Amino acid sequence: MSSHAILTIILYIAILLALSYPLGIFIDRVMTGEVISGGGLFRSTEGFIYKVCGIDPRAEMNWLSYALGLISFNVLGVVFVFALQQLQGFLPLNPQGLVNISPDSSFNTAISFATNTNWQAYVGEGTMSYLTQMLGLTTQNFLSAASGIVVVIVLIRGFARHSLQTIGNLWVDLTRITIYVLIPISIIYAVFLVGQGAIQNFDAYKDVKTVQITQFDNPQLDAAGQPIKDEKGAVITEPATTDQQTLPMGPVASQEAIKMLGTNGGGFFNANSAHPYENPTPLSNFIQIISIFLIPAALCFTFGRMVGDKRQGWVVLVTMLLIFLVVTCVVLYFEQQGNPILTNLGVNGSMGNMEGKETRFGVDDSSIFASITTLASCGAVNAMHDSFTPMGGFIPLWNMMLGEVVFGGVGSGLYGMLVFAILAVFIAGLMIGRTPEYLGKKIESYEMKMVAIAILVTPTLALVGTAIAVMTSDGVAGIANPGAHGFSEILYAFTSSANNNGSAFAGLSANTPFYNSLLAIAMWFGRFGVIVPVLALAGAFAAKKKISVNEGTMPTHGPLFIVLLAGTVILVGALNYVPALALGPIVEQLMLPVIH
Amino acid sequence: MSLVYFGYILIFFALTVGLAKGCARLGGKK
Repeated sequence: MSSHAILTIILYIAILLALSYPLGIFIDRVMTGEVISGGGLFRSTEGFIYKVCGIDPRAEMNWLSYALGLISFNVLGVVFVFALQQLQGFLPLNPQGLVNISPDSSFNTAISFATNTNWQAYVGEGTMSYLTQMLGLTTQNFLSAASGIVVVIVLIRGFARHSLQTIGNLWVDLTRITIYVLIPISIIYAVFLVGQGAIQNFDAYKDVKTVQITQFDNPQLDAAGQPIKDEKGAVITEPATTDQQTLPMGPVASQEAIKMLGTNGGGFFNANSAHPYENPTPLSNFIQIISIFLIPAALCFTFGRMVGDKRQGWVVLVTMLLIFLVVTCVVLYFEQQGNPILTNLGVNGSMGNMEGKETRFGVDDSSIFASITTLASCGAVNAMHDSFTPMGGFIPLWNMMLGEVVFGGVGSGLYGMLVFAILAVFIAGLMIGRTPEYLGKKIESYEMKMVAIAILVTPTLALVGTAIAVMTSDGVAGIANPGAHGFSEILYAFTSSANNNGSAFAGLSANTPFYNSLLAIAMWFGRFGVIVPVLALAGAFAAKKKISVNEGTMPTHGPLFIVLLAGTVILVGALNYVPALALGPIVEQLMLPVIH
Repeated sequence: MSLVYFGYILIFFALTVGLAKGCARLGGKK
């Protein structure tokens, strides 16, 4: 591994811990309702929202009311974003005169942004008006991030409370995390990005003459805008040249900040964080990867403080860091080796596999970014994962298959990891014949049913969705690369959607009614099929009595539990997918020497 | 066509609410 990569990872972990620790303490204070000193403006804004919306901040909810409120809130978000896209041609802040979005694409995008997935079948700069980007997509970036965080806070409250039927007030939790945490950090972050060169304006797109004439292969499109293929399934292209380029403009920095901080990942532009207006410099790239893990790491510290045992938070955090280190080293190794097929064609492979990567970032920063963005359910990309080597591309795919629990999405990563912790305790209890308990709460039949639903729903959606797609003509029609790689493209799309990651392997033409509908199902139920049982767990734990530590209690704050938790995540989380992986990236890797 | 997808949203809503109520019933408590 290169010295640059090693130094980047060391610096990354050091800065991440230095920033996330105080943030974790702050989130604890915000979510336990402490008065934040110097927060007069925030307090008055909070009070104003309660007054306008008729919210009694002292009223608490049981878990079912909390869940129904959260589901309704997010459905309203879906309806709003759907309607906005359907009407954007008639609305302001649309200097390019972009037309209304097709119903299936609007539906997919609305579900995608409300579920914190940010899967993008559309091309942002080619289809979305500034109003849609800001009022629809950026707003959902905040609200979906807040939705994830409040769910984990409620689960932690469930552990911390005892003999209570209530778990908090949804509207208070959503308001406080948005006002005190997400918006202030995003404002500072957006200003930093503008300083680095990210754009923030409402100008019309600019046409410029390029320095050189560019030659390219232009894919031929049919009447529906889909690429025409020959009988072998390859896209038919025709040679073309141009000396003109259109530079898209827009309010990019403000969307970029929450896109990374909220682990949303939906880029303003199609090229996402590979676009110089979204991610202009190596420094902005480094800060972007810091911001992806910032809140998920901070929530581990919040967890430790809220349950009254900081070691519990460290155990979860160290488990995440260990898995992160291993998978990142693997993807770095394979990408630094280069692509033997390209080397055989005479391409200089000394810099590693540079296909699909920005020269500004190179192999190291692209590989580290890919690992982080797929471990977290961010999904932003600064390189094309489709162009990674087979095993280099395997890791981002496998990272998502872990269930987005290694840091994961804001809130969703930690609640997913805590579900695995309950499972780990249960398995250990079975092995040694003791009644399992975690953080002073007995794990009984109902809790295990909820854990089973939460863990099994995403692999089911991903694998059944992939199976349907490869068995139907509509599904196969979207593949750009026939064979094992084409299978990987479909598997990646459904894994990314069901786990609410949102990154794309590229190469799959997914903006069709078939994929827009099927992936929307995966995204919605991948999100709420987990949130609902997690909230049920929170309610069940809050109602239980707290039992004191005794000689039969399995310690969950030491190295042994780190090993047990990591093993549970890897075995249970990822083994579901092994047969599918064998048909995609693994067989592709095994075929490399043959092609070579 | 838009109404079809709007209908999908309502179906998603109903199914998710059903899941929540099913989980509550499974535990015999809310």
